[in-house]
Amino acid sequence: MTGSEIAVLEGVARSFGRTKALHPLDLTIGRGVVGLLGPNGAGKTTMLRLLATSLPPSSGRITVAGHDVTADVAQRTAARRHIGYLPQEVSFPRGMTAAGFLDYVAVLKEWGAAERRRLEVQRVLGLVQLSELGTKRVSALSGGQRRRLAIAQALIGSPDLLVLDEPTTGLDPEQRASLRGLLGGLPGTVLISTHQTEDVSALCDRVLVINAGSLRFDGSVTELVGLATGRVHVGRDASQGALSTWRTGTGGIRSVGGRPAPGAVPVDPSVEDAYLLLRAAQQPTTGARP
Amino acid sequence: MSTTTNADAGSTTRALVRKEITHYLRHPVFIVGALLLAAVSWLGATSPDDRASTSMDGLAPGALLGLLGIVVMASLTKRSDRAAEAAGAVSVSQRTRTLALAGAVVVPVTCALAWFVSAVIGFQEHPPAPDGVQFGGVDDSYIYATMFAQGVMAAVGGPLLGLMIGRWLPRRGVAPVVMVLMVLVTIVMQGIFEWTRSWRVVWPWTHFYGAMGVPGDSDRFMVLTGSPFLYVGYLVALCALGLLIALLRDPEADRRGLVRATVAVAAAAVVLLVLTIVGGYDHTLVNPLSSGR
Repeated sequence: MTGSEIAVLEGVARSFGRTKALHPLDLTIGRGVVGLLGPNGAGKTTMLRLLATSLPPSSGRITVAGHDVTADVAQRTAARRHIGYLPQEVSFPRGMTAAGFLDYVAVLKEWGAAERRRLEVQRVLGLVQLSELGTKRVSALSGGQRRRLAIAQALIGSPDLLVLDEPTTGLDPEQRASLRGLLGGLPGTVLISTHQTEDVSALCDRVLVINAGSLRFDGSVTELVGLATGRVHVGRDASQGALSTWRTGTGGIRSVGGRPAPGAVPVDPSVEDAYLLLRAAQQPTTGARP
Repeated sequence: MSTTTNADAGSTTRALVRKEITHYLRHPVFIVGALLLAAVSWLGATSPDDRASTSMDGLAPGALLGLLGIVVMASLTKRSDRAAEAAGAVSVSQRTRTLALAGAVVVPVTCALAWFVSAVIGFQEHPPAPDGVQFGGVDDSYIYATMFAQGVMAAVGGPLLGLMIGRWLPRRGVAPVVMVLMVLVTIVMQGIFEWTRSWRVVWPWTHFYGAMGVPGDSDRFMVLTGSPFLYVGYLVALCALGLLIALLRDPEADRRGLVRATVAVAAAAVVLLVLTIVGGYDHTLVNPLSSGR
């Protein structure tokens, strides 16, 4: 492991009964924001839970911040001190205020000293713009506010590895933009699973595409978009055999993939276009990064 | 860069225990129970007719701190688990959280001790009448040991049972159902039924004296078999057993040492139970004086 690597997965696989949620995977994650794309049931959450140490792998080895989380409890505990994790679904404890919840989680993250903990809670509440709502009961918060509160707990202690499972779910556009600004400014590693391809194109240095438990793409946003170059067209008619078509605001029909209709012109593809094309491909595709 | 390397286990555990103590103190079920206990104790102490009997009866703390403690602790355990789950994976282990929750037992125990002290004072100031419990060699310490078992030990055992439920049966409604079952079995095992008297001390709440229904004089006092002193020891062993079983739930912890400790404490509990049964009076004593009622 070099100094820039925060997490390394070696032959990591996970099964649930007979279902293989994640096929053996080798992956190295360094600094920066890494986006994880994939359809529902692709294995994204499984992969994030494995990295966050909330789920043990069926086989393989995971190292986080130099600690082999598959070795023993002590190593796993040491690794957890470097991880902040936002689960996909969060069930908050009853009867707690927003600040009370964060304070409790901070203790669970070994923030024993009360005054330091109080300051840290205030800091993360401020980061997610909930400073004014610290004394409000969690049950009285809106869905978006609860999601931000859940993100705040992951930010406690400025972890080296921040693992976020669909953080923008329930956030309005303004809150999403704010979250992008926050995540983009973090010094460590952020691994973010999302269905929002705009978030990936706006935020991520690197993209992983996972499908049916296997890694299908690993590269930069530019490389991912490059897969779709020349395969997205706008014309009077839809491309033959297109994966996706829709009428644009100017009246033309935008087609992703397929044989272009006569007169159709190629347009700049988006991350979403590239993702759709990649999903349709049968064979795994590898980007520039190994 | 991470600032979470505040890995002083001692300060974390202390902070967590303080948190759980605060949560226990603020739990509405505990508050209701404690206020009712205070009211019952005050009413008993100020009522000349009931002074002696009320002060000696551990039913109120047993129910209001012990039984309700099952629900309180099961609820706090669930709350702690939810917070840990919301954070995904935290560096503080489930075992530490369980110990911290067990530490919160200090809240009901403090209340129970306050009741116990007031009950002892009440007993000394207003000793029972000659037709009451003190006959046939029953001394003050016998009464105190019984009160301690029924009041203080129940305030420990109830919440620890709630902790065990929270760890092993964390489904909604289990704690209240267990509480009701405890009441039902306690009714049978408290000593009013002759067929349970010799082995009733297996149950964690029972009487050692009282008006148990002498034919023709239902209010007449009798003293039952078994030793309340050894019974306290048995209850301590049961509480330790409950805590160990709760600690065993942690899927990540090394359980070998805990399993050995659990077996040892279970064996000690069995020995203390046998000693409780064979110790003390070997047959039921009935006060020669009628109740006068």
